[in-house]
Amino acid sequence: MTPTEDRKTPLYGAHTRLNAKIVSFHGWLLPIQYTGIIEEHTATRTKAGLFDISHLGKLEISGKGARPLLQKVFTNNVDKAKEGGIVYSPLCNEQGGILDDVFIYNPGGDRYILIVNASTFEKDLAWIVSHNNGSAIKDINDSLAGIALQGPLSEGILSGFCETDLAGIKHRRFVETRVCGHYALVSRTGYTGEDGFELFVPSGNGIEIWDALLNAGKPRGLLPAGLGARDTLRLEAGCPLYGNDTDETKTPFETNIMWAVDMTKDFVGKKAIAEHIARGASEILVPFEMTDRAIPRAGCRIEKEGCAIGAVTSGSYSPTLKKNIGFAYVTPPNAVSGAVIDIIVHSDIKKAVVVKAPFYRRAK
Amino acid sequence: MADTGKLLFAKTHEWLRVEGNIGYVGITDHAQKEITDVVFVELPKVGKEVSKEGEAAVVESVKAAFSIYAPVSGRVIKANDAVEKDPSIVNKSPYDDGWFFAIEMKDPEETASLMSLKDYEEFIKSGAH
Repeated sequence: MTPTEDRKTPLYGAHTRLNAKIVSFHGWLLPIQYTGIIEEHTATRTKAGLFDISHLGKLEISGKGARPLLQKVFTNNVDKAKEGGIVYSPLCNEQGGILDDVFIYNPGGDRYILIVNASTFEKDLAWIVSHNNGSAIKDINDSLAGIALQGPLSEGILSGFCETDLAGIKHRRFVETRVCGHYALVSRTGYTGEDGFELFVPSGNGIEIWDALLNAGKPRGLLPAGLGARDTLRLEAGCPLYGNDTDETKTPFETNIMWAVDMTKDFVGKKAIAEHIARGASEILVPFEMTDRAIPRAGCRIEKEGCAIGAVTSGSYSPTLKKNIGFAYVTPPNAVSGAVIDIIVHSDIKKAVVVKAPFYRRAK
Repeated sequence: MADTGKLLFAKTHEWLRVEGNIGYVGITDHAQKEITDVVFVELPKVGKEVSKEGEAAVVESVKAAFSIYAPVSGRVIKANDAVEKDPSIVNKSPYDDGWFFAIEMKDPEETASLMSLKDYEEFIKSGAH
């Protein structure tokens, strides 16, 4: 493979104007932070945060064969997404290994829109194409910019610009509407644990819409928020991150997402997953919090009575809970809420306890 | 406000304030800005022997951990518990309330290899760090 130049999202100009600290993230130049991770995190929890999510991969699959194709490649039942609905599903290989986790939007009329991870886009596309049954599979990545507006004030901020009454869009539902007069796919979804929306709009109108939301939200406490806050927010919300907490070497069984696998239908990887369940997992993904003072980091070894029992895959200080939290793979006897584990942080043994996700749940 | 002109600086971005045979240690304003929000500090225990350029403390931001090295050798005689309790002090007051620990210095001549404020500022500008 030859190294390729990092790409700029359609919103790149807005980030440099805001003096964001820019990093390379899976081939994209994205803001890690604008003013500070904790400040951006707290604004999202208490007011609103505005995120560039243009790096997410976008595919459109249509035609009479679209539904059967998706039922075949995805573990979850696509029919759970009625018209205007969204279903979350792992995409697995024949061995049951997770190639990606995907949001499948069903606008109706034999058409589906898939929102996939940036890091896996090419792989996902090739995999779905390899199972194609004559459906039209369209890469719509370049045509759309993605903006996430998250936090309790999101509806009030977006309502001034959206043609559709947002109160009518329930959690994990979406509409194709107009924002600032331009086409917009608006879903009540997010990766933060807060109420909020994700917007996919024409690339050329991205900055106009970003600025409109930013200017309307700023006086109410909205802050633009970068990848740093996105990571701490998703961790508190108990959302695993593909590439960190899950990957091709893990099945949905050991990553604890069997709720997104429909074993009553046929799909790629089903046999392997059934065998894995019968055999039992050697390790299971669990949320944990530190009881000793230390910040766990990805890669930290986990022990029990001196024996290795797993490793940390995500870990951070939690700005909302003011605790140190993370995700880890541990052996099944330790994968129960309340299990005490030793995490090796800077060569010292630090105590932690397995807990239930999410770490943070917003007041409704 | 500390007189930063009287401090000595290490290439690893610690400062040293010498009072007799005692050296107070902290991290520079440049370092706290680079680290961003400090959310965790782990200090050496009082009584611990530290050696020049040896790891003596850990500072963590939301994203990463950074080692803090002793600018001189000696025995730790004080640790600033306040920065462990409220690590944001390191961002707010890196040269005053945000000090980390104090060392009873073994060999005052070790300070000779440290930089003046002017030299440290040049060092940062040169981008050699």
